Amino acid sequence: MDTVRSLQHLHAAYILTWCVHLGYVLFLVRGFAQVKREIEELRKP
Amino acid sequence: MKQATFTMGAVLVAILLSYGLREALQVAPTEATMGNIQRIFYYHVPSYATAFTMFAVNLVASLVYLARRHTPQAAAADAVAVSAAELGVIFCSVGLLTGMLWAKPVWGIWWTWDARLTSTFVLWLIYVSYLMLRRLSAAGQAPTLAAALAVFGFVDVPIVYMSIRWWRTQHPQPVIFGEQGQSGLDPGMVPALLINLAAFLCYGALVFWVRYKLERARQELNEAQALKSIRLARAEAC
Repeated sequence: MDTVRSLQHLHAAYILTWCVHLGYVLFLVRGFAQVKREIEELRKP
Repeated sequence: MKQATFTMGAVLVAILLSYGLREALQVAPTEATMGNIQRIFYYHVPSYATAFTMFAVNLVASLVYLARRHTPQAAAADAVAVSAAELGVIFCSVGLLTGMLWAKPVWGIWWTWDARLTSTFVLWLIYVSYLMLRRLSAAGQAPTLAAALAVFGFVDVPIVYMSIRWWRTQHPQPVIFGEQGQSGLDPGMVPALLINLAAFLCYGALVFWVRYKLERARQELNEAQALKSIRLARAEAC
């Protein structure tokens, strides 16, 4: 029962999975950058 | 964990994930009734397995936090708990999304309120509430309140797992650990499932470590900011 629609759903599922994970990794990278910025601000006299 | 060890771990996880992707899309046999859409299974099941593992880690860390909340280990336990809950929500969201994308061509609907889907959605809501509670509560109370919620929230995990055994559901009956421990899964599909399961668990562990380090850095920053505020207040008072 492979239809074009079902193959689209299969590809969408795989792509969406990695978009969610990549988005979360970017969120973590932004979090580290924010913490680093705040530490630098804290060191200022 | 040293930078070199982390980099090596990341490279190994990337290789494992790529291998898992190839196994899932090219090597595993095509399912007779559903066709290629069944290949979503190789991401759907490992996503939930990783989510449940993260929720179990969250439970253990919350119990440790509640038992030792007046000791120096409490901050580390709290960091483990919040990191695991956040990752659990991410993997559970992926499980829900891949499930909906699988359901539409096979069942003709995106969603149905059967026992499995409803209990999973409730699980997702519980841990989203956990994360919101941490963000919105007063700073001192948040970890204790969240830890208590986590202990009660975890009750839903075995309910989700057993729901397809306890009730009639639109969701298929268990194919991996079915009746009398038998597997309904074609032997040709097992390697792809196991490799993706290992790949997702390793990826989850790696990202969990990064999230844990971030939480610890935030805790240290908050402490340093509080100390600086006290010092400034004292200096002004003098």
